[in-house]
Amino acid sequence: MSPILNITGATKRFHTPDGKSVTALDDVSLRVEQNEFVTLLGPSGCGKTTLLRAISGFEGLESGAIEIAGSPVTHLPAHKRPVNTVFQNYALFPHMTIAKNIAYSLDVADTPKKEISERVGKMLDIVGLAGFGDRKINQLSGGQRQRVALARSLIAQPKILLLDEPLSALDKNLRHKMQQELKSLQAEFGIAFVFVTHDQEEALTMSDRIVVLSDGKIQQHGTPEDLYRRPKTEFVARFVGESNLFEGHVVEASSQNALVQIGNGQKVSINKSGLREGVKVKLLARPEDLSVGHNADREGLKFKAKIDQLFFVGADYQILATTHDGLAIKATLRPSAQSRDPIGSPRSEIEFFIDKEALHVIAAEAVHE
Amino acid sequence: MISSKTNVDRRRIMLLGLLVPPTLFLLVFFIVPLTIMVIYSWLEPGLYGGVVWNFYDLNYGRILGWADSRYEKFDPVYLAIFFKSVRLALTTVLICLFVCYPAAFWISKMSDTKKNLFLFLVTLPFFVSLIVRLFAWVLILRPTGFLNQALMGTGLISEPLQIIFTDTAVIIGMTYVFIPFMFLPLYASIEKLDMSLLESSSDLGATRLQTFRRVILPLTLPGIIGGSIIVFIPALGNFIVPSLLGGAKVLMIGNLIEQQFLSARNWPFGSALGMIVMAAILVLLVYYVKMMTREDRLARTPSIKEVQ
Amino acid sequence: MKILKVLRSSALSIYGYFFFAFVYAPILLIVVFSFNSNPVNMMIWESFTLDWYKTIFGMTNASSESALYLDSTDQLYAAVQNSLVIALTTTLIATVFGTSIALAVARFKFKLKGFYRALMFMPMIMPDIVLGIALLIFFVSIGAQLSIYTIIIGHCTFLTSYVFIVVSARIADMDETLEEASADLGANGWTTFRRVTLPMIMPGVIGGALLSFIISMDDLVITYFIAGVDSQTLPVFIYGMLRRGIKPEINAIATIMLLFSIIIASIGLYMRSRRN
Repeated sequence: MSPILNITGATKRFHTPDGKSVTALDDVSLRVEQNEFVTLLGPSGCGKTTLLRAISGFEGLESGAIEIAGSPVTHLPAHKRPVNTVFQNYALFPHMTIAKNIAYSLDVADTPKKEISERVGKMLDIVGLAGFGDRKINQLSGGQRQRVALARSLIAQPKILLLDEPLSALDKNLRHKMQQELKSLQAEFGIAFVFVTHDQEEALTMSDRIVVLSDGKIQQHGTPEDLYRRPKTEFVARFVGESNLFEGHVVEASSQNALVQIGNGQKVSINKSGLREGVKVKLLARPEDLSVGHNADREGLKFKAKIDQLFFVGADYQILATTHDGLAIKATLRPSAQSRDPIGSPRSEIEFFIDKEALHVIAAEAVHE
Repeated sequence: MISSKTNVDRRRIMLLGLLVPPTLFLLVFFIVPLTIMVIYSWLEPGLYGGVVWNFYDLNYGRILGWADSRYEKFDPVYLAIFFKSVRLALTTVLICLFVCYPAAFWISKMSDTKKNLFLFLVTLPFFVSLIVRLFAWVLILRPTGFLNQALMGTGLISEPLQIIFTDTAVIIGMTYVFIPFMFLPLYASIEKLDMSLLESSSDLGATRLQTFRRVILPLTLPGIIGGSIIVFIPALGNFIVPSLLGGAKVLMIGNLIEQQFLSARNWPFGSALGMIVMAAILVLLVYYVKMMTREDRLARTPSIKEVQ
Repeated sequence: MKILKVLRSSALSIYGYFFFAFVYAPILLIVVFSFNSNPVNMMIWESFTLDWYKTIFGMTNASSESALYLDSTDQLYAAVQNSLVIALTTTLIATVFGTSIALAVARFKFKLKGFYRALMFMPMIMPDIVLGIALLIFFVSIGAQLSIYTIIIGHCTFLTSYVFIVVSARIADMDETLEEASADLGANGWTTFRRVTLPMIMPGVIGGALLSFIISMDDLVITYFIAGVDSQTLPVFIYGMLRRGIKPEINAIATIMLLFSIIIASIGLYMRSRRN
C-alpha cells in the first residue's frame, strides 16, 4: 500500500533581512503510513514547524516533492490540500460561534445545510461539547478551545491531521488528559496524525513513530523505543530522555564484539559489529540502567562516586553524582521491595554498576552494520 | 508564501485591484497638486493675478532676505510674522503640555470603568465641530462677553478687558482646540508607566522630585515629544483661530497665506509661504526621527555607562 | 506624612475637575445661552426662549427685531445638505481607498510598501492650509469649476490616510493564523477575505469611516479654499457668519451640531465597547 504522505528531498531556505540565509529544511524525506501517529520532534528552529507548514501548503519548497495519498500536492495551494491543521494558538474565529467554527470547512464547500448541522452535532458529541454549539469562543476554557479546534479540523475528514504544538498552552494535568483524547480520536477516525512538539516526553508517550529534526535535517526516525534505546547520534541521545554518555575509543574489534576503553581507563566488551579499531565512540547508559553495588557475575562498568544531590520522587530516587575521576552521573534507582532503607545521602559515597548489555554505542562516524 | 504559479498570479491581480484605484486617485489629486504648488513657488506672479512662466526666486527672496530691487527694499515683515507664528505655536504646545500632563496622570490612576468614561470625555470635544468650539471662546472673550460680564458683575474690574484680538486670545483658542491632540499621546505613555518603578525609585532613596525628573520624565518623554509635534504642526499653519480670535491685529503665517490666495491674488508668493511652513515642519520632523533612532540605539546598546 | 499624601492626591483630583471644567464650560455655555431670549447681548440672561431654534427652522418668532443673519434659512439648509452629501460620499470613497491600501500593505509582499506608508503619513504632517492651497491651484489650473465635487475630491485625499491608519492598527491586532486556518479548512483567497478578514477588520473599517465622516463634516480649512460660491459647507457657512458678526441664532445652530457630534461619538464608543 502506498503511504498516505510521501515527502522526498524537501528543501527550504529562509532569507533574513540582513542578507543571510537559514536552511530550514535540508533534503528531508519522510513517509507516513495510513493511520500512523508520527511526531516531529526537535528544539525550536529545527525545521519541524516549517515541515508541517510545507505539508499544509503555507510554505513552498525550493526543491523536493510532496505527495498525499498518491497524488502530488507540491504546487497545490493550502485550501486545495486534503489535510487540516490544529494550530498552536488554535486560531478559532472569534466572530463565529462554536458551531459555525466547526462547520466552516463544510460551509465553504457549499455542503447542504441539513448535512452540516447533522455532522456538526455529531462532532460536538465526539469532542464532548454537545450543547455548546451556540457559545462564543471567548466563553471557552483552554481545553474546550482545543476540542473545538480538533472538531473543526476533523469534520471534513482530512487524509492527514496536522497538529502544531497544540498542547503547549495547556497546564500539565489537562495536557495528559488531552494526550489520551488525541490518541483515542486518532483511533476513532483512523487517519494519520502528524504532530509537532519540542516536548520529548509527549513525543514518547503518544507516537507510533518519532522523527527527530535538527538544523533542518532528519537526525533519526523510528519507534519511541528505538529512539530511546538505540539513538544513532549524540544529539538524539541527549534530546530524547536523560542520558549518561561516556567518551571512549575502540581498542580491539572482532566480527561480533568491540572492546571499548573509556576515559578513565576501564575497558568493556560490547556486543556490536562493524566498529574499527581506533574509532572514537560514546557509550550511552540511561539513568535507570545504573544499579548500586557490584555484581561480580556480570561484566560492565563500575564507578565510585560521591552523591551531589538526591531527590526522592515517589517510586524512585534520582541521584546526581560525580565519579572520582570527575564524570557527572545521573541515576534513577528504585529501592527493592524488601528494603526501603534510604539509598544514600548527599556527600556520601556510592558505587554504581552498569551492565554491559545496557550500554549502547554511538559511533562518531557512521556505522556500517 | 504560496508556491503555485497561478496562485502568485492571482495574488498579483488582487494586489493590483487593491492598489491601482487609490494610487491613481492620490497621484492625480494629491501628488500632482503638491508638485504644482512647489513649481508655482518658483514662478513669477502675474500683474493681475495668475502666473508668468518664468523662473523667479524672489518669492522666497521677499521672505528670506533678497527683494526685487527695482520695486522694493527687503522688509523682514514676513520673517517677523513667521517667527511670531512659531512663537505662538510653541507657547500653545507648552501650555497644552502643562495643562494635560497632570490630568493624564490623574486619569491613568483611575479604576478601569471610570478611566474609560473620563477618556471618552476627553476625546469627545475632538468630535465637536471646531468652529463651534471657537465660537464659544468668541462669546467668552468679547468685550461684552461672558468673562467680562462675570468679572464686572463681581466687581473685580470696572472696565471690560480687551482680551479678544490679542495674542493671549489666540493662544487660549489654540490651546483649547488642540488639548485632545496633546492629551492622547501623553496619556498613552503615562498609562504604560509601571507604577512599581516609582515605588522602587523612592525605595532607593529618591525624593519625589528626583523620581519625577529621573524616572517619570524620561519614560514619558516619547508621549511628550509626540504630543508636542502633533500640536505644533496644525498650530503653526493655523489661520482660523487667529482670524476669529486675533482679528486683524494678530496675523499668523496662515492668515498671510490666505490673503495671498483670496485677496492679494499673488499665488506664487502664497505658495512660497506655504513651502516655508512645510520646510519648518520637515526640519523639525527630521530632527525628531534622528533623536528617536538615537534613543533606540542607546536603548539597544547594553549600558554604555558600564563599559566606561 | 499620610495627610500630606491625601492632600497631594486630592490636589490632583481637584486639578482634574478644573481641567474638565475648562474643557466643557465653553461648550455648555453655548447650550445654555442658546435658550436665552436677550437679542442684544446674548451673554446676559433674560428669559428662556426657543425663538432661535424656531428661526433656524424657518418658523416665525416672537421677537421680530432679531434681524436674521442668514439671508435666508435656505442658505443654511443648502449648507447642511452640501455637508451631508460631501461627508457621505467622501466617507464611502476614503473608506474603500484607505482599507484597500491598508490591506495591501499588511497582507501582500511588494516593493513600494515604504512609498505607500510615506504617502499615507504625509497628510498627517502637512498643515491643512498647505493642502488647501495646493488643491486650489490645481483645480484652477486645470480649469475645474469649484463645486461640491472638488470638495469631495479634496476631502478624499487626506481622509484616505485617516482610514488607512485606523484600519492598519486593527489589522496589526489581528491574528494572521486565522487566515491560514481558513485556507487550511478549504476556503480560497476570496472566501477567506469575505468570511474571515473582512469581519475581523470591520470594527476598524467602521471606526475609520466614522472618523472620516466626522472630519469631513467638520473640515473648514481645506474646504474653505476649494468651495465654490454655491457649494458652501456648514462650517464654511458658519465661519462666514461669524466673520460678519455674532447673532443669537448661531448658538442654536451650534447646539444642534453639538448634539449631532455627541451622538456620533457615542455610537463609536458603544461599538468599541461592544467589541471588547
